[in-house]
Amino acid sequence: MVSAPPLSPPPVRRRRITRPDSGQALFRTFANTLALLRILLGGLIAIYLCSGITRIQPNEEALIYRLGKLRDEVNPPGLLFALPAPFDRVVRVPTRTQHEMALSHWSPEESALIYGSTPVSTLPLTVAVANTKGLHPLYEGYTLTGDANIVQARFSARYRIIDPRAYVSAAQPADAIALIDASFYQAATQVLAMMKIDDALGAGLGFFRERVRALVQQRLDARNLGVAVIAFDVAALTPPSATVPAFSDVTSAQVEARTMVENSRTYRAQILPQGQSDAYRVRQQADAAAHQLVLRANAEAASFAKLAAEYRRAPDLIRIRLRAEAIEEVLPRVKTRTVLPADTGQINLFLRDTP
Amino acid sequence: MSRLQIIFRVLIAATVVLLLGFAMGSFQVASNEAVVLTRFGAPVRILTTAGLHGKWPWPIDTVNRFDTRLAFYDTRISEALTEDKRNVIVPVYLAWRIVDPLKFLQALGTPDAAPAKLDSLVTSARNTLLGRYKFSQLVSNDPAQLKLAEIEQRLTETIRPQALEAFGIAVAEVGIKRIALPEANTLYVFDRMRAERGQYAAKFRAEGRREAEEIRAQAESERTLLMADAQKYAEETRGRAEADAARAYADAHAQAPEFYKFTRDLEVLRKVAKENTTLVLDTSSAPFNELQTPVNSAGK
Repeated sequence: MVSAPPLSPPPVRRRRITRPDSGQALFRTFANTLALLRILLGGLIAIYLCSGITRIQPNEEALIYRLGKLRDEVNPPGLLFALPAPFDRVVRVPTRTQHEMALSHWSPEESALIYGSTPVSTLPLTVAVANTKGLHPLYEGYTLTGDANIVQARFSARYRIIDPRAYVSAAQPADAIALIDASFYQAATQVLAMMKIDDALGAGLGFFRERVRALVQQRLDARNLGVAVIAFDVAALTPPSATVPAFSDVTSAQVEARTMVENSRTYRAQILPQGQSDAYRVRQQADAAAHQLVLRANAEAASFAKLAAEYRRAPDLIRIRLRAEAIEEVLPRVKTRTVLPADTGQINLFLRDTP
Repeated sequence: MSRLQIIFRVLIAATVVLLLGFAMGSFQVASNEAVVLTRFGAPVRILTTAGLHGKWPWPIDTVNRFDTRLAFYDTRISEALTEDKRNVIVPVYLAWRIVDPLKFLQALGTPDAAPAKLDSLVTSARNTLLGRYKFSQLVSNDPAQLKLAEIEQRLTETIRPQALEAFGIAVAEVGIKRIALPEANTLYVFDRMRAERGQYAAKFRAEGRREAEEIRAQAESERTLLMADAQKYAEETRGRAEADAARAYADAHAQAPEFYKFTRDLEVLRKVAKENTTLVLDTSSAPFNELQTPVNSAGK
């Protein structure tokens, strides 16, 4: 950091120091090649004067500290004609690069990667063995949700330096990166601390992502870091592996419940049409029976009316014929026939009970 | 050696001496930098404006440079007690910068010494502060209950004057990086989480069963209703038909009530007489009277 002495004289002096033990002959040779050395010296001076010229890569912008003071202009990619070393210091800032940041301090063990951004239905239900060990606060990262449940996560983020002057003035690059990294964890902690675990693992993920992004941006702006957060992605957000089977059970309970409901719907879809057709049949049968009843009644009434007409014309004849028909029909059927003479007067009959 | 050569050499020598003098007698202060110039160890000047400044060459004056930009520090993990006596691990990070380079130089010497001092400062302030908050204020579903931001704010306010006074450091930001529990406590959390999940699973199953039963019962009742409707219709239809039939019979029978009675009797007779019916008749009744008297006419 201490301003370096000019570069040109030292080579000359160094040569003199390193050569004297080489002897007289060498000194003569040196005297002879003095002219050559002068050219060399001139060349070195020229190289020194040009040493400030810097090539700025397409993804960068450059800033110049002139005698320590940061100049206002931001230099675009291409050749930058800056002054040589003690006067100008060129700082190149990769402003057009999207900086990728893997945030895996809260990362769960690989076996537990079941819940995440993958939709619930396609979960590879590897049932993790419930470990009986707790999570060590130092080696196993996690945080607590609003309902005091433990969640582990793996995030990634992308940011871009939008204000190179602010960026180089705010912090050293290593500290700036550490601060950005910490800001994501800070925001994630804060947002998760008010979310329910079910929201965090499910529908609230979008909210979580957006909120974290906004909070981080706000925080970095407050520190005037000149950085824009482009994206904050949640690669995985899961309960700890020890509780994963319990979480899987909830998922299967949901599936079971849906299945039960669907089965009932199927049952309904089966029995309702059946009931409708049964009801239809009953109605049809009733209609038919009624029709039959009325028809028969009409027919019988008509036949009676005809017979009655005959009866009016010759009542005795009809009466006798009908009675005779009836007797003919009935008498053969009855079991015992006892015929008594009409003039024997009163008779007493003891009748058995017959069914 | 010509005069020109001598002049040239003197010029080169003068340039070298000048450059050397310049290098030893001046120094740059960069933007974002502060310099404390000490003479034989005693601070003489504090320079915060960027640019070129002069000094006495080395053993007399020494340049002590400090970067005044933000530095980041992650505190070490340690447990703390909340007001309701729960152990929590709340690691915090700091963003700090040197604002009083002289004090910093006197108190700490080099920036490398700062983290250890800040760590104990922050840790004790954090532990004191957490003792005034309940666990439910660290994590809560109710945003009004949640005091994380407030804790950060108050922690910053607590350590800022101390750090400034003791080390010449300004604390720009304090952030809580996560909320954790001692290892043994996580086991209880696991148990609770499992129990909670068990409840959810049972609830989902019960709700599913209930809904399924409801759908089933409703379907069955709808079917019963359909059948009842149909039966009602059937009854009504039969009633109407019977009424029609009865009317038809009545109309017909009204024309010859006596004859109707006669035919009905005969009908009844036909129906009543079974195989084991014992019939007792007197021979004067038809048709047996025909056996007794071969008289001409019949009639009753």
